[in-house]
Amino acid sequence: MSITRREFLRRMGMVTVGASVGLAFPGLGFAQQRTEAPPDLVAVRGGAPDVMFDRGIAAFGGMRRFVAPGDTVVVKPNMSWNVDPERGATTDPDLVKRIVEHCVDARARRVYLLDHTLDNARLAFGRNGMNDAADAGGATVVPANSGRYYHEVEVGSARNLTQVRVHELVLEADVLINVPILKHHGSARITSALKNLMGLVWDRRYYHSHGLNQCIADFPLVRAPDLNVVDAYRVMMSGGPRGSSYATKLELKRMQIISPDIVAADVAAAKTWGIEPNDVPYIGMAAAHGLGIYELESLGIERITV
Amino acid sequence: MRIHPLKVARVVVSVLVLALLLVAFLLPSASVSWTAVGARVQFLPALITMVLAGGGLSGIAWVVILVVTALVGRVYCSSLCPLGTVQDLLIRGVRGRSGYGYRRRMVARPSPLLGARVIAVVSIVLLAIGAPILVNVLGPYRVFGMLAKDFAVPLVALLSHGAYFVLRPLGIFVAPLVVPVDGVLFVVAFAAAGGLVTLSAVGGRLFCNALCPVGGVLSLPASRSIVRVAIDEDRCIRCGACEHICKAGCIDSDAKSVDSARCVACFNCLSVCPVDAIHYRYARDGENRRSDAAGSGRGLTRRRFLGRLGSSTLAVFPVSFLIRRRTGRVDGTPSGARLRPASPPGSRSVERFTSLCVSCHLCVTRCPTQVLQPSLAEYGLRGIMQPTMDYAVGFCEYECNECSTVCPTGAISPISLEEKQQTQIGQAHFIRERCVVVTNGTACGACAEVCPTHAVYMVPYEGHLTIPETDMDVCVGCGNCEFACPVEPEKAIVVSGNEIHRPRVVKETDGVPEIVDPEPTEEFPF
Repeated sequence: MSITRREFLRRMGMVTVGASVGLAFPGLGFAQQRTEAPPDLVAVRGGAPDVMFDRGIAAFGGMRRFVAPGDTVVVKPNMSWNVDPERGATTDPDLVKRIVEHCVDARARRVYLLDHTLDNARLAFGRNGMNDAADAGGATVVPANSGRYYHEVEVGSARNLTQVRVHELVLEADVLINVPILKHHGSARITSALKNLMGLVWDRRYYHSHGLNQCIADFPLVRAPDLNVVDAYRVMMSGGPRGSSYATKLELKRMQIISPDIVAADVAAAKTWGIEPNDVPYIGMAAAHGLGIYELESLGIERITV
Repeated sequence: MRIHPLKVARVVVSVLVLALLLVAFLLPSASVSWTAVGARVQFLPALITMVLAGGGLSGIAWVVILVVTALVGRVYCSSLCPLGTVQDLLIRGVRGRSGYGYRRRMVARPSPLLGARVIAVVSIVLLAIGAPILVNVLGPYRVFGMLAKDFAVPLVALLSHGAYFVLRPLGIFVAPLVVPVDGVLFVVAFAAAGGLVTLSAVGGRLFCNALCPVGGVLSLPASRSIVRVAIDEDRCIRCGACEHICKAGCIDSDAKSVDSARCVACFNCLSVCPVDAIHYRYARDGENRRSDAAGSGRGLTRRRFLGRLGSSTLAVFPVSFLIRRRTGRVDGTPSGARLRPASPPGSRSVERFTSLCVSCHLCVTRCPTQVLQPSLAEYGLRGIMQPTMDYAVGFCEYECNECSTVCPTGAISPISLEEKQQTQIGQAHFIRERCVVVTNGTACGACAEVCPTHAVYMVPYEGHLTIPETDMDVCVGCGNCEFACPVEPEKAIVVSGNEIHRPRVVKETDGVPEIVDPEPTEEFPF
């Protein structure tokens, strides 16, 4: 069908007006689209852990930035200890539940909770609330205490951790989300995102006998997490990592650090805890591997108060 | 031919008790530990519980069994004893429905009941003086426990690992049964199983009448029981069908008599008589009883008995002693004192534990962290096979008291979780010159990480390094530290058992540690 000359001119006029308006006022008419890049690191403070995560992940553009429909997601919290969650030794179960819910909303096919525990797993997952968090959120808890599920991989560019038996889900999953709890550690100074990955290997004793700090720094060469969420709500300031009720002091810092950059997350976590990142050897070693950015000033940081 | 209802009843009961015990031994979940009730109705464990362990009425089973036996014969042997049921299954497997053709053989070579009675007396005397060694070798519940734990459990573990291949492609993750495979114990159990199969094939319930200490004890009241299997001499035509089917070799059809001292009350004979001449009924004293004088004074029998006793004990002793199973256990602490074995929490002292334990290994199979392992030489010769804490294999979980809830003899007395957490069964000794921090100059702290009572903690050393320090007052001897230590072959921190368990100093408060809630601020630390 042919078009009349008048109709053609009318349409051209509309397009010109619309384009001009759109170019002159970028927020107008394209309200859903962010024209600036997502932040490198988001720091949230002042709310409950699950609420803080909602605000934090929204600043990245939602969980769908990290999880595509049909993905297999492995969430690695700290659920290693057979203690109540109020002891500050394990990740807040409400936070874990919330993260799982976000993954499910992003249409992940399967969400797993994975941790090779120090305490007896069956007892721990009931006491520290992770069984309930998994059931409520829609995740599957993986029993990681059988060597059958671990496979040896070569880590070419590692300095000490040249080969390691790692859980097969780490190698197979589409997305790895690292959810540590920030706390004092008797020998590593603090434990945060980098140290939390130790729960993905079969043989912890290798780390302890081959240079703990260097092995912690080497591991992300096997697989770096796609996202790190540091739970700094209830922070153990002494007596870590297990804590005891008389040698431990907890501080309610009510903070959370979210970043795909594991080095930046731990630098921020160290400063949050109150220690210079220079005094935590494994952070610098990880930066030396090129696993992330050490200088926070060069990063785009969004700070949110709930 | 109909099956006699008594036989049906004893089959149902025996299968039920066996199933309960198998569940207790094979399924790791704590929620099925009530099935250990199958262990509480066993004769020797109950005897030990009541008479030696001060367990009171929880050990009443042996009294009940004795009374019942005096009234109605050795029904324990065919309905409650798990080894009896195992033998019945073996007999059925080996012999099918055919009997034993005992007709001539029994008269010529009767089973040496005297042997079992001697063993029974010796076992009980040794038990009374604190050396349950014969009970640990020949006690039927203990033998069953050994077969279950060293034989059946590894097989089940193998199957559960096989399940991995089936379930993994379906995306299902399972926790396979993880069992430290002990070659020596498996071989011993295999030999014992082989011995049992042989005995069953050759002579049915031969173990029960030749070797079993419980059989020896129960044969005494059973020989005069008021109700027993008896033959109506008027009706019997001496066809020998009952003698043929008898598992215990207690029927002499020529003499038309049944020896109730040997009869294990399986009731198989009640169904096979073509003229309905054999019944389970009241029998007057003197009627239908065969003297068991035969069996003593016959050189052939005594030699055979000694040979069997010798071969079964031989299978256990030298093999176990010659092979040192564990590596990594240090022979001395820094002060030069020898490392002592630790007995499980609830046992109160090593002396008490080794005098009461029958080595059934129910605690070993139920321990969720597998720290309880059968000993070889740790408790000395008389304590062989009795469980001890092996910190190379596992550690004692702080929030668990499972072993004390299942022990059928009271060797591990029931203890509340709180009491267990305040009991010191051993002390950890730090050996500084072996520590990774000292030898390699790198950070470690594996021991302090896992200590549940803050008995091991890190203090500043050099530069950014920290090194362990110990506070023995609060140590419970759980061995978490020793298990976690990465130094091989001799660990840098080792636990030595306390001869007598003692309360530890409790420094922690109940509940949550001190919490600081700072003023809310808009400031971010970076």
